[in-house]
Amino acid sequence: MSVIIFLVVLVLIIAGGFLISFFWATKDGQFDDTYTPSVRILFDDEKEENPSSK
Amino acid sequence: MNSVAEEKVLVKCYHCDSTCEEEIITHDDKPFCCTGCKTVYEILQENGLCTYYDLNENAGVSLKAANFAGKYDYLAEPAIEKQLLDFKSENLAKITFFIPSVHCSSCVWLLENFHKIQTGVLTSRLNFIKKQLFVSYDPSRVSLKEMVELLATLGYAPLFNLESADKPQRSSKEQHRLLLRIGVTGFCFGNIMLLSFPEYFQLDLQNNVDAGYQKFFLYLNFLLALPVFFFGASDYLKGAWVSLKENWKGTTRVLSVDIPIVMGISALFIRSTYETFVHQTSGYWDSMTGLVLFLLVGKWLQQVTYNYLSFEHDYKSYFPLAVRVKEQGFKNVAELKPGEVMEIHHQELIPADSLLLSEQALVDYSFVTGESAPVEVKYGDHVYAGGRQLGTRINLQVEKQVSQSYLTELWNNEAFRKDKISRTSDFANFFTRYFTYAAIGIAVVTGLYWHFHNQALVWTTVTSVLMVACPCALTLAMPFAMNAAMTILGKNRFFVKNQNVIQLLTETDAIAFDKTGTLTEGKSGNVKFTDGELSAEEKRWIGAATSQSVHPLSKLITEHLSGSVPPDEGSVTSFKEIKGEGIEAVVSGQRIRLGNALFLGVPQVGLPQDGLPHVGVPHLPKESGQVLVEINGVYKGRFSVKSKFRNGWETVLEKLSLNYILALISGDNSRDREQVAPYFNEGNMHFNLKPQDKLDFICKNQAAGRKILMIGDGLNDAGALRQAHVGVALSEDVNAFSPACDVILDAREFNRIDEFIGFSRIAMNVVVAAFALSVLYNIVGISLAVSGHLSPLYAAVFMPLSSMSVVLFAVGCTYLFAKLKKLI
Repeated sequence: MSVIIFLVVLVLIIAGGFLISFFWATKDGQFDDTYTPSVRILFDDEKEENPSSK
Repeated sequence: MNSVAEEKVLVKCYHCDSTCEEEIITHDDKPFCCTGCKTVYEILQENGLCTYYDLNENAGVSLKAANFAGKYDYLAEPAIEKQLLDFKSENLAKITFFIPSVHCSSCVWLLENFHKIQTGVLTSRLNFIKKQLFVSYDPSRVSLKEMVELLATLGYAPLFNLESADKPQRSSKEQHRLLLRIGVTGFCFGNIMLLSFPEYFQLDLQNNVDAGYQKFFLYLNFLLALPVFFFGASDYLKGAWVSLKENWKGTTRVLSVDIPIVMGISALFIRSTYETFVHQTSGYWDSMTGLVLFLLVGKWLQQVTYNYLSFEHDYKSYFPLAVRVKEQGFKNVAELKPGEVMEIHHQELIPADSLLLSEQALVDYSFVTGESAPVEVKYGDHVYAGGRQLGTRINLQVEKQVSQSYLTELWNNEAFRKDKISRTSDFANFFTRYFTYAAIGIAVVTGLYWHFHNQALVWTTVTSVLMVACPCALTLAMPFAMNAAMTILGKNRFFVKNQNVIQLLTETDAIAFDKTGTLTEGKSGNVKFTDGELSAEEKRWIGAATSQSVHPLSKLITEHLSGSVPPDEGSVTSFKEIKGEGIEAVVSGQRIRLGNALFLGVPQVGLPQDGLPHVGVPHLPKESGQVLVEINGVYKGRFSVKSKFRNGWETVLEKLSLNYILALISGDNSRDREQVAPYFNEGNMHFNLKPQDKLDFICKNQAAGRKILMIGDGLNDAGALRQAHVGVALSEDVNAFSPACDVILDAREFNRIDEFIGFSRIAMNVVVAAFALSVLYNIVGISLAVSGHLSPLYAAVFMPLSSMSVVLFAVGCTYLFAKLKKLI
């Protein structure tokens, strides 16, 4: 039955990993600008291939 | 003539979407309104960046007025460049530009592709909300000046002012810390809740397996609660400690709200630790962590602000960054020393008090004083900082450093030195003063009661009382309701600096208005031509004549006429301006005279017309703002120029005058006195005030116990805005600079200001009602606790439930009332 204890500890470690990634994301400034990325993601990157299109 | 104009309206510029009025430049089968727009198109086309136009119609910025020849020369000065750069090495430099004209997703796209247009730029990244562009570039391949000039050519001119040289302090650190706290607390809270479930469903402690788990969960919960108490709640612990220390020293008499909170949290923590290790039963870990989480979320809401608006500007945002100093090249304005000679060009701001070395100059002080007519200065006269030079280049000898000049001295006033945030509302003060004592009082009485009746219950009941009395629902109701109110007001373009301002708003009892730019629309006036008709050709002549003059009336007429016919400036062959009277010019061979009645020899009110040189002249009301027109000796009519008051200003003043004492403090002359007189008491109208006088006016009234709401727009109101209980800055464009204030109000919404103040009162009443509700909860909870019935399970259910319902009530009511008042 100690499997539950093992699982609880394992889950806490995994969740702790996410907590650490949250720390990293905050310090990295990912929550500083919450608007521009939503615009940026819509732009295509391909334009570089054919510069004189349009 | 008219039909031609109408046809032209249909042609829109491919780049900026404005109507091509004067000429249409066709390039690549596309119409452009000016060469500037065409140039941008060509640059983009060359670099294959025409996607810009696909992303948004009318993406471009109109470049009609753009002329920056030599404007950015100072960026080539190494000392100035160094002050602006965030980082510099041999092959890499980083800089942050502030670009006010960023407005759509096309801007993001183009600016982030800046490296494709400009060689040497490595990366560029835009923060759309803050309109900041972060550029890293190779200084050996491109200079700062080249980069800025290209940006300006594209219509994205970065803004530089004296403030740009001060590196902004990263205030986001504070926010990061709070986010981390919320993250950690949320993590621990969630896990503790999960691990507490077995307890909620009654473990069978006789059963060996169950008992084993129970112990495991118990200690794990304890471990998970530690970071919440010591990291998550550390701000509250510190706050309470500081407040206690200050009370001990006697510097303040008010116990901060942190104290009852910390009492609650500590009671929960100590009691739960005791239960865990002594009785081996579950404590109140779930309640404690939940409480801290809610509190932190409330705190986070409290510091939410409109981060694209700035409420903290001082004169530095208005002053130029650099000025050309004789024999030294460009110099940072803040480093100017007395005795140095600087060169100021047309339309440039004079950055320091100085002596005029040129023969004469015309200085427009409207920026500083609100007075609209420019002042003529002669050789050797004093010129004050903040004035704008009109006309040719002048030389000035600096007399005082920038920070000590006449205008900037205002910022040395006490009003700017003290932190305005420290001003708390009466309501919060009242609350914190009594709550702590009440909570401690009840706890002591309960303890004494049980001491005499059942000693075993003393410890349980006292800690329970402290736990339940923790004002968490109370402290949550305020930020949530105020945040809702802030959001609603913001949607109506009434942007408050922070939540505290809404409380302060409800306490005001008098309103002081600035006139120019506040009651009236900027410097624009209502120009009307009466007494006759002008042909299009005549209008063009007059426009040409007035465009030569810098007098405000001439400027308004020029502006008025250029709307219908563009003036033909080249045709002016002779021009003479007689100060205080009028102008005389020969345009295309026609003799044009414009000016007051005296200048043209036209009779004033009520004089008989017979026998006078100009036949058909009607009675002229004797008032200022009249410009009479004479062409080739024939009287043609007159322009009447009146300050253009804002839409609905009369109704809003009328409504406000019911509940408030209204006052007018204007820096302009009293020509509009009669128009505003019905709304203000005779003693409450003041004209020709200097910025310092406005500040003093507020101080005087505050000393008399009034709480003043100041509404103004310009730098000349800055002191008054700062000193007032609440300072509202009116702004035509909320993203542009407005002086330091508590509220930024979009000028278009000026006539609704009474609604906004009314709504802030409603929001405050909602908070009071939510407080009443939570006090009710507290009474129920405390009576449970006093009688010794507060089990962990009750606490786990009761505490979050009370907080949540209070929060929902507060937010729900605020939105409901906003809906009823048609604010959303």
